[in-house]
Amino acid sequence: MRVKSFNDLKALLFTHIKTHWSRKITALTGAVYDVNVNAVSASNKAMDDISIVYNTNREWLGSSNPGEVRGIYSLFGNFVPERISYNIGWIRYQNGWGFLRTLNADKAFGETGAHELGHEILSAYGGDSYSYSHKGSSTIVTQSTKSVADGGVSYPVTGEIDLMKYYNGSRPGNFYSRVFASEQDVKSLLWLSRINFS
Amino acid sequence: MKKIVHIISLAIFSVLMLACDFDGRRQADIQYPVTLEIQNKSQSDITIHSIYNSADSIEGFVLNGELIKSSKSLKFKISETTANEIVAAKYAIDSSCNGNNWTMSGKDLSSSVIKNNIEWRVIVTLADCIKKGV
Repeated sequence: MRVKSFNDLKALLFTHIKTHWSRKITALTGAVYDVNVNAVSASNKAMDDISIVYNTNREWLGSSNPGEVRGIYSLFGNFVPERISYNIGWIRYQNGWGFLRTLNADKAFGETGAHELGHEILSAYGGDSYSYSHKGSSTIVTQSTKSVADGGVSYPVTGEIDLMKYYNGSRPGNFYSRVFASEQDVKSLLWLSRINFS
Repeated sequence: MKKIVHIISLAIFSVLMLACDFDGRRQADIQYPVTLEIQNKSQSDITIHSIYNSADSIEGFVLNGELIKSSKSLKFKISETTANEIVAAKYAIDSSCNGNNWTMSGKDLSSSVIKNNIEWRVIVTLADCIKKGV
């Protein structure tokens, strides 16, 4: 039985984008601002489109967003589906089945969606290799986490976890409450918007 | 000739891109962050048919097993909620050993947790090839 409509999932996604992309930033003057990110649905003057897929009673379905074509990687990356999957109920993963309840399904969907949409932002201000390499924390084509010796990073013991990076080690139990877009990414989103303050 | 090499290179690159796991591994590591390790410390080989939640558990799960040779172990990636049920001993294992089929309750098995920055692992130890009731 389907427990969430497309509009429910869209609203859920927007809520989580707000959660993971809103933060405090410090201007060059030293002034601190609260940035509240409210996503809206648009087909004009908008980012590249992405599908939302409801998935239950079958194999776990991953999400991906190769994004708009901005270079050689994203040109070929566009063979990969652009989708954010909502996995709920009985889901098969590797060698068994597990029941994903709404609370956990919502958290995973929201965080994944915020990450996938973030690729479009990273790609727009840093280029597709910057986005595909998760700001240098993963390899570009195979998307493997880079070791710390190779320039990768490990999960921080405390504090914020960067939404757009890949991490070595075991994900913390309080992961979802610590994962946010970095200050640089949120500032870059503002820069991309060409917003003017008078 | 140069043109053919170009076309073949592009085709290979496209296939590589198709074979890529764009963010899938990241999502799986987040949603299934715990390694369940079943250690066979008995003198016999034990076949695990399935591991599943007990009636008093909150989360449902069914994992397919396989043969574990004596002093070897079997590993699965599982969700945090499944791990919590196993740590709370709210599960059972259907297995066979020395020609007998048994169902072992999690309450009759010892388990331990390793959780640090490097790994998150739940270890269930099968100490003997003996029949246990659920």
